[in-house]
Amino acid sequence: MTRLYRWLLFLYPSDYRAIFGREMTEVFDKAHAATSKRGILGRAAFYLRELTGLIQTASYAQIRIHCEWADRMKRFVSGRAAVTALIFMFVAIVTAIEILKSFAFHRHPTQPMLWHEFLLAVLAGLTVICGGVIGWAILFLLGRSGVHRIANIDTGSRQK
Amino acid sequence: MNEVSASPLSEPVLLILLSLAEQPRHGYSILKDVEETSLHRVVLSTGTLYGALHRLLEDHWIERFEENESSRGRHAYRLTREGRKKLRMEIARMKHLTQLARLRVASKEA
Repeated sequence: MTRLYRWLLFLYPSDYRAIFGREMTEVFDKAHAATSKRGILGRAAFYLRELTGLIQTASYAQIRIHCEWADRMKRFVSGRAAVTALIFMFVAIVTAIEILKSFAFHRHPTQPMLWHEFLLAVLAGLTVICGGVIGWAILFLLGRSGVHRIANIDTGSRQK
Repeated sequence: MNEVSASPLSEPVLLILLSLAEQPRHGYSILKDVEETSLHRVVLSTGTLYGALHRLLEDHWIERFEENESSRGRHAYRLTREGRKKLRMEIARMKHLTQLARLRVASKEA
């Protein structure tokens, strides 16, 4: 039964499980042992209570984790980092268009058209991809650094 | 004048806080104490207990600590100053409600 309970604990988010998993298993073990003297109805009530309690709190913990994540992302995306990354991507797209234009206007008449266009498309595409990757990398690195949490630090300046 | 809590605590949360007000306890001890103090009316499941403890820890109403050296890794819980304050506020709220109820019922009976 303990093995099954331990397996059911995987319904909780990993952070939650890391903090409380072992303790919860121990408490369940003790509570389970205490029900051994009760009749079949007592034990059935115990299993039902444990199962419903676990499903209820695991769902709640999962929803909370996802809401927190969504909220964090929302705040992060609306932050300065996102604006910087978007500017970077915009510059990349404008540069790609400029490259396409300059090559199109300075194309040598003897060059085959299809090959030339293919090269231009590859070059422009690579520029946009590089811009996107660099923009994404800026967002990712800033997210990993936790710099967006600085806004949440309570400096106590509002407490008078 | 006593401070009165704005929103009432749920019965399981109140019983958990009362259990920890007496002394620090580990999970199973809280579970048993809640059951005994509520005269077997409130029987918490392990999941419900730890869900409540998790929220109380997040709100800094309780804190988690390693019980002693001999039982390494065994954690217990105790009330923080904030938690004790909230508990006192809840008791004041209930006291106010009880007094009001007594007065109203007495005036009706008289």
